[in-house]
Amino acid sequence: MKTKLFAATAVATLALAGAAQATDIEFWYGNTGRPEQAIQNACKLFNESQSEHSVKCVGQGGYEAGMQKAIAAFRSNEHPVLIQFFDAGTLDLMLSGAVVPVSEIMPDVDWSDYNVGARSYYQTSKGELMSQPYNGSTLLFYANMEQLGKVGVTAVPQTWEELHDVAVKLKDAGHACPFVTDAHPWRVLEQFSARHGLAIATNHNGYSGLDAEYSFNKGKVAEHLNNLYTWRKDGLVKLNQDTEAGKYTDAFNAGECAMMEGSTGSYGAAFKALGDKVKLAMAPMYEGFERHNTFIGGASIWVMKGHSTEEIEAAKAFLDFLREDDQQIEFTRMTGYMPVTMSAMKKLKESGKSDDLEFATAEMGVASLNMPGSEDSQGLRLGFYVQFRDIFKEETQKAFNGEQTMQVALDAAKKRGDELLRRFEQTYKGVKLP
Amino acid sequence: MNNSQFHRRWLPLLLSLPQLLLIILFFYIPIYMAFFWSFTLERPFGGGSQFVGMQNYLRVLTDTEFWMAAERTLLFMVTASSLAVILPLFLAVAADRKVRLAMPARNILVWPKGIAGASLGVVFLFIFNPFLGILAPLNDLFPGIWQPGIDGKDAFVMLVAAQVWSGIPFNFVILLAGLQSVPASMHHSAAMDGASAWRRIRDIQIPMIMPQLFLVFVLEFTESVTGAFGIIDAMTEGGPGGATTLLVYKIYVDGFKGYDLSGASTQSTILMILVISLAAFQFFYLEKKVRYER
Amino acid sequence: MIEKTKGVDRAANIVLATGMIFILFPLVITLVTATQSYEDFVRNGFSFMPGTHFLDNISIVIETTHLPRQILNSIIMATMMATIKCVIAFLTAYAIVYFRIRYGGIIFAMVLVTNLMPLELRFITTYQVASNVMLPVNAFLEFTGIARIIELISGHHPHYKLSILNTYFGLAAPLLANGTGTFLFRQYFRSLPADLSKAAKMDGAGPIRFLWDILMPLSKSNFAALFLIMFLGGWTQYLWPLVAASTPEMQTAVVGLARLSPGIPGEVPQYPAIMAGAVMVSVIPLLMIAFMQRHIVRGLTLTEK
Repeated sequence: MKTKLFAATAVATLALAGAAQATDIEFWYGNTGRPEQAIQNACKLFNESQSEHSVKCVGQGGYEAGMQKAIAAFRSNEHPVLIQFFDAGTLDLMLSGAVVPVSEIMPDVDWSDYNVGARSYYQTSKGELMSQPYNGSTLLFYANMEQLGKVGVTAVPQTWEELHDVAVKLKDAGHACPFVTDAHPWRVLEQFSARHGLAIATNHNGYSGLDAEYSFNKGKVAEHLNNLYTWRKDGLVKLNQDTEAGKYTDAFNAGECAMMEGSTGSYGAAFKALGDKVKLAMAPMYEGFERHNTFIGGASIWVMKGHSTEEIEAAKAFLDFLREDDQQIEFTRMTGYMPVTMSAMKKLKESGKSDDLEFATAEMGVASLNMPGSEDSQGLRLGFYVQFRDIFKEETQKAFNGEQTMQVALDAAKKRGDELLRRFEQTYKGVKLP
Repeated sequence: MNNSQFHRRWLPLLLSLPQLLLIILFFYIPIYMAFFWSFTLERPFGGGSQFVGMQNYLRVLTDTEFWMAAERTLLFMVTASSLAVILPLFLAVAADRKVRLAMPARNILVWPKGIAGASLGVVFLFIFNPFLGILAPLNDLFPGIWQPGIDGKDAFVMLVAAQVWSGIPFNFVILLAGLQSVPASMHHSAAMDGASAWRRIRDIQIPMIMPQLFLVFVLEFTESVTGAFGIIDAMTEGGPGGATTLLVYKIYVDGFKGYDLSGASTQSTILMILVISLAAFQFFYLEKKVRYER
Repeated sequence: MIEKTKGVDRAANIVLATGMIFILFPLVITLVTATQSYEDFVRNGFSFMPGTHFLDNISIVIETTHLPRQILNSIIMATMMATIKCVIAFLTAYAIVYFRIRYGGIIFAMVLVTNLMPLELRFITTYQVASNVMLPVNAFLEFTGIARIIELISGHHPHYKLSILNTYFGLAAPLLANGTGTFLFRQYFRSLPADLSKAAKMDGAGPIRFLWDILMPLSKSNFAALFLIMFLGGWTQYLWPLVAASTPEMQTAVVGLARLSPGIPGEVPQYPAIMAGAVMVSVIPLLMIAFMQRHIVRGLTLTEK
């Protein structure tokens, strides 16, 4: 009986190994909506452009879901060659032992052509890129100029103080939703701190060691969240669950809300829905602060360990294809995500198309990324950061509901976040930050 | 029934082997692993696991989030299970009588058995949508009175309603079967003694179906601890602000969304111990108080 | 009975009517909303007026979501679960009741204990097992030292990998690791007259003949009840299919429905189409319940005891 079982096992293992050696490779991504269409489009073009390799692009329904699936798949040895991971998972992946740095398998690529912001977020301390930046985004401010025009506002507000005044005008004119946000930490914490030149954690957001601690619960971030709380009470700000559409981007695109803070990646859908009524600006600052660069958001593509040379070759070919200037430009046109290399940006400018409304995010976004930086605006190197985002959302949500004050919420988020950092440190005991 | 049995050495084992393999592989090994993992710190992508003794238990048991989830679970258990037993009890007593609506009710009240908690969640989410749903007019009159996306209590109420809806068929069927097994002669003699129909319900029918009531309570308790997952995931995802994060949902979030395999295993182990002791308590203590006719 | 029960009966009718309204209300709302057009819905909001766009909404769901495929997955998975369950429960109960074996009690106890802990309490590690069902084999090889021997002989360390995640078997198998059904058949076999097998033995029939020719035909209605209950149970599963299927193409209908966003992304929720999806997902089990009521009620009373 037992020998039979072993024989069956061996056969099954061989069969599995055989199946994996097909020339097809898989690429898992998390985007949905218009970016998903653009990714599928790119896959199709790649597969049509040559006959040697074939990439199957598989949607995972979200960045978080994609990461969970990847972990599970890696543990069961069913992981794809290429996978798109989002900014928040960077450190978890760096230490995972599950990935190969792109700069290692593709040493001939001129990685210095990538935007400084993209490089600093995804490279090791030695300046080697771990992953290939793909859909780069950053935070921008969106205004529906038709609605702002009705109350006599013709310029997009640049500061929170101006934004507040415009919101009051809109409200007085009977507008039910002057400004909408989902209060996601990417918007209200990470991008906010970066452009105000503040750190959210010690050790320069973890860049100089795993023993970092969160520090956002004091100072301007706390003040800003308290403002959002007050403004929401005053009817100036709505959150996702306050809107009829149920989601801030939908509420803005449907004309329910007049202004929002959103990723460049939301521009494709907004432009499609509202056309030239949408106007963009860099995300608002508080007066008295000097503007620093925003973080690159979106995601990058990682190469996972444990694949054959043929599969790696196919992966390289696909990554080369996505890096082509024209591919990046087309992706920008369809989604609003920015070109991530300087050469693609240059080509876009030279073509003269960058003035088209379709490309409105490219210049604005890149300009925002290229603002003067500091040690605290390189990116985040914080472990289990994906869970921290959930904790932050949960605690601030309780404050918005009135169950606790915003300060209590932020203190609790810091405390719980620090526990995560300590557990991460212990989990990867003896592992050095690359 | 000795000589009615067959004598074979290996055949019976072979016959039960498929079942045994399945439960060993997918029941006993996972439980053993959960127990084992609760003493280690696992790396999400694998490749490293260290023994940490009681540290995970210490971490979980001193975590206020865990206790809040436990408290919510208990509250949900008590409210949802009581309603999910009491309502079917009324319905079963009514359907046991020879009244016009008894026949259609016996059919229709079983329908929820075919609707998954998550499917019902999708429907309830729409029905109770504060802007588009049935309570929208109420919100126009009294702004902010119904906000399941903001107010944790409203969200909790929604979950309980969905859980009760889903629980009706089974409890109804079991209680009705119990009532129908009450011998007609008991009714007759009681009626002769001059007991009114109301009295007979209280003094004869309810006491007679105590075993069934006991059974549905036990099962409903476990069900409310574990079965609410689909409803929560479809309706609130544990929100707003964690107000509907019951333990089973927290384990899922920690283990699958948070890659905290050790913490999730620890909480699973604790919940397993809880469920087993609950079952044992109900069995050994409560059962004695119930008149059993087995 | 001759005495007056009018008051009680009226109360009973009222209770039953309320109960039926409570049950039917969400179902009716679902059906009505599924017939409304998106434009009407956005304009009028919630309304009890049926519209004429039921088929349009269905076709939106069919064209823009994976739901049709997922309904097929549910049918396959639920059928598989019900079939396997009927077979293994029947065989185990048969082994326990009709054979004189010392380990019968142990098997029965092992099976019975499984009902204490539903999959929701152990899914984290069950997932790990499903991602490599060879895990116990590897552990066995390591533990006994056979792995070392193989390594010495063949030169490489044996480590087997076989994942059942994202397969139909993987969706069904862990949900079958419980005692439902085994107990049902055991009780039933024990309620049958002992002479049955005695007579069969005297006629010279072996255990397999007896099982096939006598016990199976007798158990027909038990099979029907168990099959239906398992099918419905499989259809309405949520947590396990959610984690065990990693692509939309392998997910089951209920999981798909909970994530359904038909139509063009980035607009106000398409509730009429979502409700049409809910109708599609629920129509098969509801028809089964409405028309096979007797078996299902029987199944419900038998399986959970």
